[in-house]
Parts: sequence; C-alpha cells; structure tokens
Amino acid sequence: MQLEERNDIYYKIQNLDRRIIYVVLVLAVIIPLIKPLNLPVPSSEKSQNFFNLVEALPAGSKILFSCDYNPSGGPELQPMNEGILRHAMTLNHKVYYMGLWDQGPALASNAIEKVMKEFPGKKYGTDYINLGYKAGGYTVAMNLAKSNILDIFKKDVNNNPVKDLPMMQEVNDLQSFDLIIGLTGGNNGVIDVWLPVAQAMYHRKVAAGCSSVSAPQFYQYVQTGQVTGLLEGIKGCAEYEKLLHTRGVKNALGKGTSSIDVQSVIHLVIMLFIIVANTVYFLDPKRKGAVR
Amino acid sequence: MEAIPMVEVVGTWIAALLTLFIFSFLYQDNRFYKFAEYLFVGSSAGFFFAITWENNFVQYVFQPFTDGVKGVMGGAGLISQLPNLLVVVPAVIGLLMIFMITENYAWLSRYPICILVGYGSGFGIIAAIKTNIIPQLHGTMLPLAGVPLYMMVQNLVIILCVLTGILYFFFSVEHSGLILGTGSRIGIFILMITFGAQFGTTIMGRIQLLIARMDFLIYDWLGKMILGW
Repeated sequence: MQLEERNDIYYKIQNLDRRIIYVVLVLAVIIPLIKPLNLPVPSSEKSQNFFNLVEALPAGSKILFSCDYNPSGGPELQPMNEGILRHAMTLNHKVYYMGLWDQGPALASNAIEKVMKEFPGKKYGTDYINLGYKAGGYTVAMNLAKSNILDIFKKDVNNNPVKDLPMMQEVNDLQSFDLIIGLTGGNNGVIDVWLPVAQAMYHRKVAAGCSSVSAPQFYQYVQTGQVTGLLEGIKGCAEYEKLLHTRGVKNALGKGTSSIDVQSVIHLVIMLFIIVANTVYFLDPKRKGAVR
Repeated sequence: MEAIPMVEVVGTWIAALLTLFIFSFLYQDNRFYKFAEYLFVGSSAGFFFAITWENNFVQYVFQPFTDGVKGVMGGAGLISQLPNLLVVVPAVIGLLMIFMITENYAWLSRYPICILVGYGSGFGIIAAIKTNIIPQLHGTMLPLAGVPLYMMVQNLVIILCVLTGILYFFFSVEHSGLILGTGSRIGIFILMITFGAQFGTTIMGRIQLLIARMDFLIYDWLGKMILGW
C-alpha cells in the first residue's frame, strides 16, 4: 500500500527534524545560564529538615560524610557536597569524609580543595579528613560499628597514616559520630548500607543527599523518619544553598542556584513541546481514528 | 588576569573537545563521536581496574599475605600469622569465577557464586526486614481518628494507595469483582502516577547533566580559556 504523501502543517510538526528540538533545548539552557533569571527558590520541608539537623548539632560535632557517587552524579551531588562542607565548617563541626564508591573520595577531595580556601583557620586532620575509599559496602559499615575505626582506616586518601591525627583520636567507632550524611548516586549507599546498619541497628541519625533519579525511592524513608533530612537532586541543593545564604554563610549560592533557573526554563520548554505535539496530533484530521 | 596552570589549560581543552565530540552525535554518527566513546569506555575500564586492584586485591590479599609470609620468615609463629596467610583461600575461591567463561570447567564458578548468594541473602534478608518491611509497615499504620481532617484524608489516601498498589501484584486469584478487580485497577493508576513522578525526576536528573556540561563549556572553556573572563 502506498503511503499518502503529505505536506500539511500537521504532518510537518509531527515529523519535525529532532535536530531543531535539540537546538531549541540547547538555547533554553544557554540563555538562562548567561542571563540568570533569579527565580525565587522556596525551601521544601525536606531541605529545611536537613538544614535544621546540621544547624542543631553542637559545635565540634563529628559528622561521618560518605560520598557514594561518581562523576555521573557530580552535577547534582557535588554542589551539595560543597554546601554541606561550608555549613559544617561555619558551625565548627568536624567532617570525616569516606566513600563506598571508588571515585567518591576523589570528588570529596575536589570539594575540600574548593571550599577550604574560604576557611584558612581550619586544619586537615584537626577539622576535616578524607579517609578514602573502602570496598565492601555493608561489610565496611558493620566493621565500622563493631571495630575501632583505626583498624579499618589506617591511611587517608593520599596514603598517609591517620593514627596520630587529632581527629582520629576523638572517634572510636560508628557510635562516636553525631550524624551520618550519605550522598548517594545509586545502589550501595544510604538505602543499602547506612539505613540498615547505622540507623536500624545502631540508631544513629542519618541524613541523605540523592540524585533526582533516586529521589522517589527516598520519600518512603523520609515519611517513616528513617532518613531525618533529605536533599533531593539539584532542587534540594538549590533550596539548601538558599537557606545557607539566608543564614549568612559566605559563597553559599553556587551551581545549585544557577542551575535551578535553567531547570525551570527547560521544563517549561518540554511541557510546551508536549502540549503542542498532543494538540497537533488530536487536531490532525488525517490521523488514524479521527472523526471525519 | 592571573596565569592559569598549564595542566588546567590542557585538561580543560581536552575535556571541552571530548564533550563537543560526544555532542556531535546529535547531528549524526561520526568518527569523532566514536573516538570519544571508545576513549571513555577504555579509560573507565582501565581506571576501574586500577582502583579495584589497589583497593581490593592489594589491600585485602597481597598486602596481608606478604605481611604474613614476612612474619613467618622473620621468626613469628605460623599460628600467629594464619589470619594473614588464610586470605589466599577466599582469593582463590574468588578466582574460580574466571572459569565461568569456559565450557568444561564452568561448574567451578558455582562455588564462589554460592558463597556470594548465601552472604547476600543472609545480609539482604536482615536488611530488608529492618529497613524496608517493618518500618514501612509501621509507617502505613496511620491514625484515621483523633487527628485534624486534612491529616485524616492524607492518611486515608496513603493507606488506600499502598493497599491497592500491593493488590495489583496479587496474581494468585483473578482480578475480578469489587475488591480485587476495582482495587487492582486503582492500583494500576497509583503505579502509573508513581512511574510518572519517577520519570519526571529522571528528566530533571538528565537535564542537569546537560546543564553541567554547558556550564563547563561556557564558563570554564569559552569564558576562562578563550575569552579570558
């Protein structure tokens, strides 16, 4: 059967060259990046809870910060990492970085390199430390709960011994930490390791930052109170940065805030495409099943 | 404008060119895209191998075993060094997995698989019960009386959504009648709403990858390297 040749507007729109759509999307990204719209960013309950949790800790509290993501999760989780580190350093908390993913500690090092320039009085080994990657996931967390931390982390991410560092003298095992924060890019993170071990077995407070893709999985744990605070994707990151800025933390507004404007524009563009495409489809008199 | 370190200049240019090579696929498949893709796959595999070798094999097998051998040869008792020397046992069992690719000896790979499955199940069952079953059951037992009206409605919606969603997956009986039939149809709608929300957040996540790359191209490459912002 020979297909009917069409030249009408309905056909043209429904068979639009996808490269035109790509160009429109790229322009929708570039324009708000160059000319920010400064749209308001109201904070959600989950981001506010995360902020309040870190804020409420007494000065000098020990935070175990597990970076369980790789560069593919970096666009959403790296700005979170930097924001949380800024917040912790402002409040004089002690941050113990580690990672259950192989590239997590390297990304943590990037965050440290960027943020700690703003805190010249803070010292590595006294106020913050990067203990590096440990393979094993759940096994690492269980060992951390049952053994001395120095038996598990003998060296830091740069292969330097940690035994004599002041921070390492102040902690013994998992129960020594006042808060466990996990930035999770997928499996083998908060849900699979820190919730079953730290929260369920040892009743430690667990807060999480996750990519947007994983966010719906976390809602159930927030509802039950298993996760005390949640930063969900770039939206949560932008909200957190806004809260930090309101609090007076310097350089708080980062990639999260600049990206959320673009997100809003892109989502509007996508919705417009969907509405136009569906409208054209249903208005097309020659579509299959159309009433003629 | 302060001088930019050469390593940063080279790194940024390489990253920018590879990004543009990947983006060129949007126009049509070409050699530049293929080159960037193969480079990414190869370097990722190499990096992962190096990290796994250093953090798994060297740290958990090679180092303890050599420490044990040195200890024995240095005069320490064999019994005292046994924990270090015995690491070779799980290492060998793990290496049996390689036989999976052979035809005649594939059965040897079943031993490490059984140990992994056993360990995984043993941990997985406890974790699932402690994290996903009991707390979630507790979270669904919500008050329908003695609370403000909006909370009562919210709790009722949660309970109904959970029940109808689970009902859809009950396949032992035909989905007909008021409870199973209508309930499972409502469950389908609930699942579709969930998948829609999941899809929406996935879009946000994927768009953020594009935003991050464009931010890098505009500010770190064009701005910093070329225009000198």
